[in-house]
Amino acid sequence: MAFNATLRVSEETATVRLVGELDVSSAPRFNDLIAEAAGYKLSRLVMLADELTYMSSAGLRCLVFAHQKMPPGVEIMFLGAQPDVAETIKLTGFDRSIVLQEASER
Amino acid sequence: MAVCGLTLDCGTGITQEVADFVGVLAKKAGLRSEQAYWLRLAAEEITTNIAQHGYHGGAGLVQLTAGMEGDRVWIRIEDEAPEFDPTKYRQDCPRETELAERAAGGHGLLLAFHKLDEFGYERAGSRNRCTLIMFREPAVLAANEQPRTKDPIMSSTTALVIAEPSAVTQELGRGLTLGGFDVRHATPDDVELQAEAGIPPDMLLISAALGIRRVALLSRQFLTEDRAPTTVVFPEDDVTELEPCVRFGFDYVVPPFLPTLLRTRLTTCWERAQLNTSVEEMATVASLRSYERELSVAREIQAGFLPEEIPCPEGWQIDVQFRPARRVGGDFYDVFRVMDGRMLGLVIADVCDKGVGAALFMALIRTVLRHATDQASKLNLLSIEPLEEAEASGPALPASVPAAGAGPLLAAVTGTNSYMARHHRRQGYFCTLFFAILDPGSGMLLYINGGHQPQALIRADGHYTLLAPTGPAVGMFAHSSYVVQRESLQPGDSLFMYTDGVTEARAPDGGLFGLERTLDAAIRHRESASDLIGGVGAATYRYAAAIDQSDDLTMLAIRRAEAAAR
Repeated sequence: MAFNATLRVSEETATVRLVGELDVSSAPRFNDLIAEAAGYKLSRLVMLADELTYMSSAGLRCLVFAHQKMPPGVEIMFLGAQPDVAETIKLTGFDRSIVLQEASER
Repeated sequence: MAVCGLTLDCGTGITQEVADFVGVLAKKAGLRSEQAYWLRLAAEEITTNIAQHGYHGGAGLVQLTAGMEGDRVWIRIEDEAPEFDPTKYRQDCPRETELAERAAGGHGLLLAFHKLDEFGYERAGSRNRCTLIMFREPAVLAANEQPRTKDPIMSSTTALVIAEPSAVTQELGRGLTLGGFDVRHATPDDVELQAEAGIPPDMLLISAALGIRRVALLSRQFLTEDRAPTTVVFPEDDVTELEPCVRFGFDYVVPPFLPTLLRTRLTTCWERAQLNTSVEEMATVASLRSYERELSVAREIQAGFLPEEIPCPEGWQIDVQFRPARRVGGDFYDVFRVMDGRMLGLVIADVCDKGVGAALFMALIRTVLRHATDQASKLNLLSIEPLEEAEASGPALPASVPAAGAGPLLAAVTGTNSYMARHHRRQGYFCTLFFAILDPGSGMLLYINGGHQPQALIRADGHYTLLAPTGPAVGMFAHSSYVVQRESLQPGDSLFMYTDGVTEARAPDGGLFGLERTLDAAIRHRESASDLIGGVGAATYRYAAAIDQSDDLTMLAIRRAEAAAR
């Protein structure tokens, strides 16, 4: 399945909506948006992941990249993560550096 | 049991292929969605690692094979990069390190191992071989294996034994029943009734004694859109009966038909068939695509080498028809001016094969032939000029006297033959051809028939002469010799050139159109070149009832018009 990511910036919040499968081939697209978001003065970077159905370690590297790009103090939130995606993040300890909110049971 | 394999080149992005591969496997194996997710993740992480670190982002082979054995679903990933054992790089305590402090990377393998039930590594020769294993859950296993039955695997699987009643059939039936199958019997003749009557059986056991054709037909009786019973053959008296069936791809069982053995064997057959279905579907689609591609390439080559326009001297009519077969052949025709435009070269030829190879050979031979004719006629112009003039004004020369055009014709054909035989013999191609040079002014026709069908010279009064071969097919032997023959076309006479697609056009009952019908149609339509082509074309079409012909159908007619009668 294809991957799509869109960026919206409003006030000091950048929102990236992630849809589809984030793997090594689609990660560059996500990285581009993060770099673009880093150009704004932000206090929060929100990733809406409820429609993200798959994420490999390439996706994790994007999160690391986001963490490195954002100035200290910018809150990074990963919202609505599906169980397997959330598990991937927790497994590697990333949930300690970002705010991870899992999807409620459906 | 290997079920399917996929070979990839890391130089291109391969994650999608890997994902699709695992997806098909997971579905067939009935893995839970969570298992499918993590198996895919593991496969992606391992292959990405190979691509990025093993091959450093460049090209390199990655081979995936997969299968299932009992409750195990496995994927084997092999590569030819330097030795790397992922198990040595397992990170046991990733949570101890702060995210930002860690290098971006190194998580992949951790993720890969996370939910796999087993992971193995070995260095096999010059390859790294990783094996990823997931266990199927018993409930999932049963439900998945038997989508339409309620009970666990095989316990109430229906088996239909198709054979003439015999001791062997009885023994098999007994074995199956004791093995827990719900057994029915049918003779080959009442199968149809069974097929229409009820729910299709899960397995068909067909006697190999019926022969491969009947086995194949019977196995298709129960096909429905979404399901195909697994066909297994068994021998009745003679084990060698199995051979053609096995070669055809059927699984088999052999006596003694012990219940446990049968059960185990049939479970494997059934499982394999389930998996093969999807692999076969994929393979069929892939091979159809490549076939279509080949077909269109060959068509383009073939069409590109037919003359764009046909030079027609005054007082003559020329018509051609070229009807390519569904499977592209190597027919071609050519009409071109030679001897400084004073003579007309006419060629019809048939390369002995079909497909892209034949089309390329056709393109080559046509080019060599034209070139050789050009070269030879240039030389010939210098030496034979006076003779040609003498001939044009004087009476017709006796057939034994060399005529203008004979030299180039002979030189072109022998030159082409020895070139093709010397340089292209290994491909094993050759072609039959009829090459004529016509002097439009006098009607003199010189020709060489290189192993081609006898071509027909049809006189104004309806008599005909067949122009039989004057040498072997071109490209077979380097030292073939050819003889130039001579004929003359008077007003109203036609030369009808054709390939075997015409005489070998097949009727639905398998009969051939044949030379006699060809000549008959040609003679009846000798009033003009286009009538002749149209008449023969229509006759073959009617005869073959418009069914797909296996061979190209190529015809060329040249007719000397009657002197304008006013």
